[in-house]
Amino acid sequence: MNKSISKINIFICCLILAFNYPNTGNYQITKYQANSLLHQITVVDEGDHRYLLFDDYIQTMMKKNRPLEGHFDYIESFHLVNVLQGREGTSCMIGLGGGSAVRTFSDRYKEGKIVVAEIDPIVEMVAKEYFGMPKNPNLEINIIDGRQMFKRKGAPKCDTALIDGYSTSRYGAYIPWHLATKEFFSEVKKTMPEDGIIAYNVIGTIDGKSSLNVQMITKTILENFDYVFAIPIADTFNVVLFGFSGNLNEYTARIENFRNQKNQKYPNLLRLSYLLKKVEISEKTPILSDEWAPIDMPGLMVKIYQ
Amino acid sequence: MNKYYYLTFLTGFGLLSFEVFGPRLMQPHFGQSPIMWASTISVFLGGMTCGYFLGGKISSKNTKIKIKKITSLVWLSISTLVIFSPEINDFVASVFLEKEPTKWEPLLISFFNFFIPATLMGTAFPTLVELCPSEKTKKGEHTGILLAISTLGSILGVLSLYFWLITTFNTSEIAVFLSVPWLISIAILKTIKT
Repeated sequence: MNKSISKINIFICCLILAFNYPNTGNYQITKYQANSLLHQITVVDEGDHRYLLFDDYIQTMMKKNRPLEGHFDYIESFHLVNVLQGREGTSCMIGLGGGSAVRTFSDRYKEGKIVVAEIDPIVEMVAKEYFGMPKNPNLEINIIDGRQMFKRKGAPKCDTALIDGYSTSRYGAYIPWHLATKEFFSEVKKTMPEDGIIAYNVIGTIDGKSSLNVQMITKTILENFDYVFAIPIADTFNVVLFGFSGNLNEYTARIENFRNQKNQKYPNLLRLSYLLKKVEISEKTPILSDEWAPIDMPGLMVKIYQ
Repeated sequence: MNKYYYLTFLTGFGLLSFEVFGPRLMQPHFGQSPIMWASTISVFLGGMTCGYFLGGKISSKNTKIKIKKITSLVWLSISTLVIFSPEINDFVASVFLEKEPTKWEPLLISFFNFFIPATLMGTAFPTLVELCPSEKTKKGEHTGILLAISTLGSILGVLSLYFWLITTFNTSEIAVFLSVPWLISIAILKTIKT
C-alpha cells in the first residue's frame, strides 16, 4: 500500500515538474568565440536577442532583427549628452563593445561625428561582423587605449565624451584606474569646448554598499566640471554620470524642453531623463588621481550579478 | 643569522616589487594591456641577464673589499633611480606621446624606464654569492639557500605592493618606499667586516 502511494506521489511530482519546467522556447547558439589578449569574447544568440560577452559578463545586448533596439538603458541614457548640450557635435567614446552606442548615435545624429577608442582589435571585428556596425563616413575607430586617444599628439576635438571602459576579472568588474583620475578628466576636458559634456558609466549604485566607486568618480569629475548629475539604472546595476560646466539653468531648460516635446521618438530616453538626480557625496570620499586610484583592487571591484 | 641572508632577502624584495610596480607607473600614459606587462617583464629579465653577467665579472675580478664598495655604489644608484622612477617615466612618456604609436613602442618605453635599474639590480645576486662565506656548505647548497631567501623576499615584495602599498600610498611615496630595501642593504653591508 505504502509503496503504491509513494509511486503515485513520484508520478504526480514528475507530472507537476514536467508542466512547470520553465521552457521559454529559446536556446542559446554560440555564434562566435575567440580569445583576445584581454578577454574571452563570445557572441551568443538567444531568442530574438544577440549578446556579446567578455569572459562571463554580458557587454552588449541587441535585437537581432532590429539592431537599433534592445540595447541596455545605460546606452540609451548616453544620448542625454546631446539633449544637455543642445546640438549634434563630435562624440568621443571609450569602449566599443558591441557598438550599441555607435549604432544609435549614428542613426539619430546625422550631422554628428563619432570617434571611438577601443583597445581590442578583435572587439572591433566582432562589432562589425555580428553587431551591424554602420558604415558611416563620420565614424572613426581607433585601436588604442582610451586615455592615450585623448592625450596623444593629434587628439580629436570632442564636444561630448562617453566613457564606458571596463575590465573584468574573477573578482568582478572594474574600471581601469587610469580612466578614472582627475588628470584623465582634465585631459578629456582639454579636447572639449566650454560646454563640453562627459558621460561616464560606472557599475554600482548611488547610495548604499556599492556606492563608493560612484561617489569617488563623481567627486573626481567635479575637480574638472562644475556639475555632476546621475541616472541610476537599477536593472543592470549601473549609474551614468554626466559632468558639465557653465550655467545650470540653461541645461535644466534644455532637459525641460526635451521632456515637453510632443510625439517623443525615444520614449525610453524620456523615461530615463526623469531619473536625473544629484549624487550625495560624503566629505570623506577621496578624489582619485594618477598618484592614488586603487579602484582595480579586489576590495573595490564591483561584483555584477547577471 | 648570517647578515648576508638579510641582504639577499632585501634585494629580492626590492627587485620584484619594483618590477611589478613598473606597469602601474606607466599606465596613466600608455594604458593597461598585457603587452605592457610582457614588455616590462622582458626588459627586466633582459636587464637582469646583463646584470648577472656583470655581477659575476665584478665578483671574479675584485677583492672582497672592492666588491663591497662597488656593490654599495650600485645599490645607491638603484635607490636613486627607484626614487626618481615616476619622474623618469613622465619624461619618457612626454617624448613618446609626441610621436605616432608604433608596434615596438611598449618595449622601447619599458627599455628606457627599466633596463638600467634592472641591470644594476641583477648584479646584486652574484656579488652576494661571492661575499657570503660558504666554508661549511657546498657551492650548490650555498647558492640554493641564497636563491631561496631572495625568492622569499620577492614574494613578500609583490604581496606588500599589491595588498598594502598601492591601496595606502601615493605613487611617489611608493617609489620612495621601494628604494628603502636598497638603502637598508647598504647600511647592513657597511656593518659586515670582510
